[in-house]
Amino acid sequence: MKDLGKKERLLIRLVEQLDEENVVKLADELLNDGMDPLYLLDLVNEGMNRVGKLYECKDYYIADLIMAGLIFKQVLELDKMTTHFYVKHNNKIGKVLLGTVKGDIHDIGKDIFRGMLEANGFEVIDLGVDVPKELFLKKYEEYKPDILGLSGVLTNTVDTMKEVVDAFVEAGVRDKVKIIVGGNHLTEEICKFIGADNFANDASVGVKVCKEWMNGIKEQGVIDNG
Amino acid sequence: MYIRLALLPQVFRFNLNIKLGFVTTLLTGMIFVSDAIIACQTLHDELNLAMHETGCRPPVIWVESDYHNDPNQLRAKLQEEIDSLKNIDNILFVYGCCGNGLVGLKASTANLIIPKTEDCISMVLSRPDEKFERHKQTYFLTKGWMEGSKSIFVEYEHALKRYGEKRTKRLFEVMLKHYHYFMLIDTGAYNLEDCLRKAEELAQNTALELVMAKGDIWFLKKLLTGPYDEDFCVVPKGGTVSITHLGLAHTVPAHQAI
Repeated sequence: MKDLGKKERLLIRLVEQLDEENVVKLADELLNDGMDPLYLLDLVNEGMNRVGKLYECKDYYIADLIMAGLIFKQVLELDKMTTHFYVKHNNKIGKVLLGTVKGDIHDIGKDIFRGMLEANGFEVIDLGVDVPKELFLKKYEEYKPDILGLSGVLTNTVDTMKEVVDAFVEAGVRDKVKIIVGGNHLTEEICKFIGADNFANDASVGVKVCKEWMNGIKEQGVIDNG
Repeated sequence: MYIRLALLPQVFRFNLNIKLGFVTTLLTGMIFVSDAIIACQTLHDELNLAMHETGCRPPVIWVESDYHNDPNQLRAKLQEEIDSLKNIDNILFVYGCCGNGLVGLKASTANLIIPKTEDCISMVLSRPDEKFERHKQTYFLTKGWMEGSKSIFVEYEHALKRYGEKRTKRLFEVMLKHYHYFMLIDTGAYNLEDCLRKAEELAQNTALELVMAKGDIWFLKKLLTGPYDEDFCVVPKGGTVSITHLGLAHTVPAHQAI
């Protein structure tokens, strides 16, 4: 992110300021001028990170996080973006099965995670909210994803996430998939308790973990859960 | 200084509350137990009512309700308050698991007594010896919730000011897309009328249905009086709150169902 041009810096600032119209306008202009879509997403992502920091500092509200998500989505839907990802369609870096676990209907974080995964070249099967363990298993069998992402906000989702992981153990498929759990309430201790491979308190960390796993899988050829 | 006269062993605590200086007789087999409370501002009215009804009035350290949004910050703040207390035997927490914000707390200065319940919603909506089921598609409201500096009402006002009516509508459609109801909980601790008017207005603006529910402060009263049975997690001084202490992994009492 060093040596950015004037327009690049402006794009980051507009995202930070949640200026919906001007972000979309400038992003479209930069893409038409030949900017690499992935580089543009890096710039937007930098703006999103700044929004996240402003939320942590209590300057921004949840409504602002949602606005950031809507802006991100609109950038992804720009013609040049969809064309870029369409061309890359058969060259996805990994497959993620994702959902908010049973008993919880929160999905703001999950949706941001999904958008960022897709922007980074993952194929995502999003099962929505309040997803029972049986459905996670059924869809696992159907899609055979590399990664299972379990999301939640409520405290009791710790238990529910553990139930999903246990169901995968019982079905004999636990060692065939990496499991990441996401939510503000998760810690390393809780992640171990659940039996997941890793956890994330925010979407960008989650995406980083998934990318590292896929690199590992490519290198080793198999998933190593040890 | 607040102290409580208690019998040995602790589970048979004698719930007579007295103030130091008024004690003239020390009964054989009794000890003085000194308590303090660390409480979330969200439950301000409910705790005050419970203290009034039980006559138990330990000193209270109030913690802003904003910490609700960040369990890591909540944990750090609560630890700071625990570490600062002196000459206290028990610290009573007016908190539930609260996003696991209490997991990892160290009982550095006193025993920690924590209700085994998910959060303030389950705390006021559960009933003794009844299974608590959280209503789905429901956004819960109490006066304490509504007064928080980052409450949904403040969110709405902020959005309206920053983005205008049309975009605010869009943002709240996303924010509340899986919700069908606002549930205003009558805990008996505050005047319902003012809250009802505000809740009706927000429900109308966001196209959700407003429903009412009767809450209860039995959990808070039990926290003040004991006994500290399976409804509570008791971490002795020197210990650390672990995830199993708080009753996750199906070890919770049946009526809590967390």
